[in-house]
Amino acid sequence: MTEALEFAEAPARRPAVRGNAYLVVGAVLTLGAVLLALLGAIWTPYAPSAVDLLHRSTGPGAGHLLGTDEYGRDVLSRIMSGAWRSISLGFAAMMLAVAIGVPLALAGAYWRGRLDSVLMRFIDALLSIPSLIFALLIITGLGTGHGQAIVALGIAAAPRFVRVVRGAALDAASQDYVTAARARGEAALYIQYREILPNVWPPIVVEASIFAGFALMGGAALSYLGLGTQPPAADWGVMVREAQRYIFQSWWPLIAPATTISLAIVGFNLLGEGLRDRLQLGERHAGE
Amino acid sequence: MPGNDPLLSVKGLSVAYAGNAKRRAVLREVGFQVTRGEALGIVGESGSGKSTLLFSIMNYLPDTAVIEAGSVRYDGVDLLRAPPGVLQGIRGRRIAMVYQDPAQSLNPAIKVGDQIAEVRKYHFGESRSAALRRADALLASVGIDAPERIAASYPHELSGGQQQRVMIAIALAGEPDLLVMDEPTTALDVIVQARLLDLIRDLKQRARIAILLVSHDLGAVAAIADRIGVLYAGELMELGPAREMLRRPDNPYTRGLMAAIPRVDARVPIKGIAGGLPRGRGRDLGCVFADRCDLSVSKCLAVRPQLTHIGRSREWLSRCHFAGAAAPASARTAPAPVPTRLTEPNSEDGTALLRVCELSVDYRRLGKWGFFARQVIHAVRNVSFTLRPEHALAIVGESGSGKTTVARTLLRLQEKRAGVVSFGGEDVFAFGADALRRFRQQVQMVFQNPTSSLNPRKTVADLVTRPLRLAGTASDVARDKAEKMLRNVGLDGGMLRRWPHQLSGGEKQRVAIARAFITEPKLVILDEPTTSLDVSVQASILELLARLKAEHRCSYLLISHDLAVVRHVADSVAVMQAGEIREHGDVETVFSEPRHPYTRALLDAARRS
Repeated sequence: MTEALEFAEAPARRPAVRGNAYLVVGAVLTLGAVLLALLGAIWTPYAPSAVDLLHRSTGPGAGHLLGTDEYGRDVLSRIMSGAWRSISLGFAAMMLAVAIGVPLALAGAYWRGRLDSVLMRFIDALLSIPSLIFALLIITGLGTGHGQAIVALGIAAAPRFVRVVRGAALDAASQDYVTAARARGEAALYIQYREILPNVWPPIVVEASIFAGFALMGGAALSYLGLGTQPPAADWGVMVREAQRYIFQSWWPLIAPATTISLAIVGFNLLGEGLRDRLQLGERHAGE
Repeated sequence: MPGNDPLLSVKGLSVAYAGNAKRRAVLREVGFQVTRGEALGIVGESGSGKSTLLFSIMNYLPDTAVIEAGSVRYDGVDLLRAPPGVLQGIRGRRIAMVYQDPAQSLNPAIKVGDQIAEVRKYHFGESRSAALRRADALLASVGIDAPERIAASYPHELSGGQQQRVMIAIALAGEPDLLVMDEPTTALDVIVQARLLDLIRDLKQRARIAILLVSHDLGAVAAIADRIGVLYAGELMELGPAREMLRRPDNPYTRGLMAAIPRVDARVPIKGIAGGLPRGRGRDLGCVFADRCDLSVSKCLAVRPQLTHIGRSREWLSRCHFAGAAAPASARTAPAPVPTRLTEPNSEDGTALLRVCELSVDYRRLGKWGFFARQVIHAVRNVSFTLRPEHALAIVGESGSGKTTVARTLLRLQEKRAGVVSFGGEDVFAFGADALRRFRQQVQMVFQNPTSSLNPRKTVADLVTRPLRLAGTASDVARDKAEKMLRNVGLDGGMLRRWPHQLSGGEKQRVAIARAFITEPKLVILDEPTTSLDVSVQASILELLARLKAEHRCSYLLISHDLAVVRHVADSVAVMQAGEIREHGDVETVFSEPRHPYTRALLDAARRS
């Protein structure tokens, strides 16, 4: 690739350093969160709901690395077991949003016309509602719980995916390779999924990564409000909610999960930003 | 011009771009001078470094560029090392620049009169009213008929030719000594192009302005320049007086370039330059053109030739070991046999392959009042023609003439309003699903820009085999056929695993052509098949298309704006303007005795540039 470009005239300026730093930090944080979740699903230092009456509300120490909460439960163990619930919620909601958003975007960009206009006005209307409020509205219909939170956040984010993917898909749909495919008689679905889709992966991946972070936060927020995961099951949002009542006795059980949430969200966002720089660079090369 | 101090003097300029791991040289020891009142044209294909040269002169090089050696002096000031304040006083004032695409260079939100006046206000401190009056005068001087009305217009209200004239007026507003033009006519239609070249020539004489014109189009350069420099792969290959050089080019590259240009006036044989730009940096020693050159001997690979004087003139230089050596009568200049018509067109009784009768196509788009007032545009009106088997018909027209719409409608990519399209005697618009599928196997299309027509996320193998796979051919059979087809279009079978972005423009177009021919079509629609390519590559592609047509015994429908290409490829021609066919007939007849005034204007313009 570089060889073919040997004599290309003006080389693209690459934000390589910044992009790479984002990518590396983002990937490390994200990977850390995912590993924590996977580990937490099979092993924790203590059972997450085991009560150690002798050590209640202790700070970090040798026995309990991140201390214990007001009931004497090990904070690290609870973060680890909660990680699985929080991270999987983020991923599941993201995949739901992609599964709803991408087909709509491709169909709209390919068919254009009235259908597309109506669809996009509807999407615009939905976009004017803040995602979290939208998710709350859906929760009112579905009821509370982990699964319901996933569905609500996924649906609430779908309009954003339609918007982002449609922009890229419109661009791809106007290329001659789509005309060429129509001219040789390809089916509409083949053109949408085999010709256009491979060219709109970059924005999908970027948006998905950033949204996974958002869904993580949204999930924590719903749990915090008591609408997501229901105690005694714990995720990070539930932990913050329970710990904040005792903030004046011990702040540690509050700070630990809150920090974990922040780091995970920052991780997904940096990963998304880094991917954006990297993938768009690839685009530019491909377009040469 | 002896005894005249050079206005612009470029000496030993070497520029490289800092890459990931290594630097790559883009310009090497380029040197030339422009004196007052003189026009120097620099010709270069893509990858020649002509943009970098322009950026160096304007001191607009990107941060990644490294000036390794040399200087660019303007009237004694070293532009590469001058402080920003000094540069501001020179750029736009003493050196003005005209870019390729006026639509992108003009600010869409400001009336053009104000854009011209801005230069007067900035550089001469004129009041707004004085500057605007001046703008009118400038517009008149660049051949605009109603300067007041144009000055009060926004760029989008003007045609491409008018926009480019406005750009020139802006450039002239600073009363510059030197006008630098980057492909000033490339984005324009033929007739407009010819008029603009007239204007530039006129300006040079009237205003005694020095002009540095950079272009890939030897014709445009020849129309204006007193002297011509030929740039290849970052090196100045030949530099000399325009008239002599065009008559008897010395450097093998210049000769190759000229042999590759098809002519409007006669179907002369053309010959592309085989191969591509040197890749990598292994060529530091030898001649950059050595591996594409017919004259190449071992010395050419080992020793880099110097610029050598040709003949008696002190001004004519050529970078070749054989410079001036009585132009070796080798393959390049030897007259090749003129290809006879590839097929004798069947006489009138032959059944038509494609018959288009009274075809009309409308576009509907939102008008000024949006949703409530749809505007109907008659893109194609009452177009009729027939195409016989093994025959090549060209539809010629400028942008917006409706020629591409005709092609799209034939393929049923577009609905028609009226008329009949029949293929092999059957009505194309009455085809059911099965018949349509068979039809689409028999009619293939090659697009203008292969970068857009080849999906960047598919390998060459996927791209070329797809039409066969769609028809149900097994994948290994399809792959074998694709490999043969690739060899047939002059690529090697190993290309199958490559991605489009790893190929050069010419290679991509060959892949697109392979894809079109793999189903053994009866009709191939060629939509400006060489417009996005360099001349030397264009010639090779035209040769290939001629050979394929003979081998596969198919018909061509060529859509083109380039009369020289049409002359070279087509048997008959239909001239389209504003959605209608103005003239239709045998190529030789139409080109030698055009009847319609529009055809005459087109031919006239094509001959002049």
